[in-house]
Amino acid sequence: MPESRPDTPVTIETYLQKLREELSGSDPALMQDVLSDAEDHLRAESEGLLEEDREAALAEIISRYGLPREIADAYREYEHARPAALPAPPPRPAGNPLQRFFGVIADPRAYAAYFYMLFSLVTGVFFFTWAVTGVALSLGLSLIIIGLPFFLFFLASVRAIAYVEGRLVEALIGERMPRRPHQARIEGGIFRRALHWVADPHTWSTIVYMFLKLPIGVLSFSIFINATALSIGLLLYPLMQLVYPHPFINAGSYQYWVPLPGQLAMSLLGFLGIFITLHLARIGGTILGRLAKAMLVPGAPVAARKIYPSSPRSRHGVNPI
Amino acid sequence: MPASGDQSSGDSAAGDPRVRKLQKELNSGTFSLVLLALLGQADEPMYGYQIAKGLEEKTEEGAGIKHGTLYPVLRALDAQGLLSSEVEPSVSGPPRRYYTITEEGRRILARWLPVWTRTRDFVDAILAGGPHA
Repeated sequence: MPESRPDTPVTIETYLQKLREELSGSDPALMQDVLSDAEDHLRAESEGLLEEDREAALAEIISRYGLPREIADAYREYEHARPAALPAPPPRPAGNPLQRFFGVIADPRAYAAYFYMLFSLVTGVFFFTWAVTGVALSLGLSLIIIGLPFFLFFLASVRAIAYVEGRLVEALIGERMPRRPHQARIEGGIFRRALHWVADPHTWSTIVYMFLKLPIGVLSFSIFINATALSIGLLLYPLMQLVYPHPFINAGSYQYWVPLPGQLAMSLLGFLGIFITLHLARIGGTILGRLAKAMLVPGAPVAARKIYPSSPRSRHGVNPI
Repeated sequence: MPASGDQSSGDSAAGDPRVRKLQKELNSGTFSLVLLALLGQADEPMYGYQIAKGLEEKTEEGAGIKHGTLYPVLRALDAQGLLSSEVEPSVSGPPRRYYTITEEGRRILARWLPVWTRTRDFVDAILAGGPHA
């Protein structure tokens, strides 16, 4: 195998840039992980280097870390060997829509996505409150000295939230999200980093996501709580009529009692409703997963999925290491 | 540019792309075992850079191991529950992820060791070219 050996980049930034180029076309979540590991390692190892021989020492450290291509290959290899965050779904009978429709009841991902839809209200309230508090306090305090530290703290918390929400999305929905936090990727003091954070569109897209999460959470929570209540209510309607007979419509002296065939039809509808709810959870989960990825992962191009599919289904069947 | 494997040995073979390729393939086949064994012997949790250093100390050249290729393996072992990890802030620089072997990791390591011994003996026997032991 002829191996091209490009010049070793001499700074951490140029090395990370080459690594980024080497990974172009990969899943952006994977890219963030690779860059984050590389930056952590190189910064840890280059701590305390003396200024005069810094360049040579850094070149040596980087060469020991590995050529960008070697590193990119190693990650790609393990990316596909890694077991999915959730167990693989039971193999579905292909070409049978009926079995596919009812098979959702045994799919752990549907329940995980359902839980995510409900839990979105909790995270939504928290993200929204924190975003409003953070933005308002940052603006309000910007006139006095404490404003800047608070603003920096808020920006750091935004990055942490992007990471935590990403972990939640990957665990519950299966969308491949970064497993390492997004790095500042800039050398220098806290102020240079802060400036970089402010100029980084990722910071702002995360803050917008935090705002958006509340309406999304309210909507998804309402839809799924209502769908669940309606399905269970309909399913158990005939049983309820036996235990606690009650007219379907009770307006003044007018009462409408659902006849038994109607009750059974309602029960059947409720039964189907449970499956429809689970399917909706999967679909909703996929949409929210895509949204989270687009807004929380820097430079997430949709085309990346073609090369390194992020859907857990595509990883189904690969062997662990 | 200092390339891996040819800094200290002075062995021209180490610079040969085909030799490097074999080394790379052997490394990728044994990384999981080596990392699990190293962490199995460690008294305390280790982070990536320490692990890379630990490997280098064991051999003259760290078998040409590129530090950057350790991380995906560590993460994969972590994801499979063979290692556990936690992030701790460091005094200077970015926070570090410290890895510890889990009970499951030790169990798997104990089951992997005979496989390795068998493979090593097999390769040695073939290379020696003598009659079966």
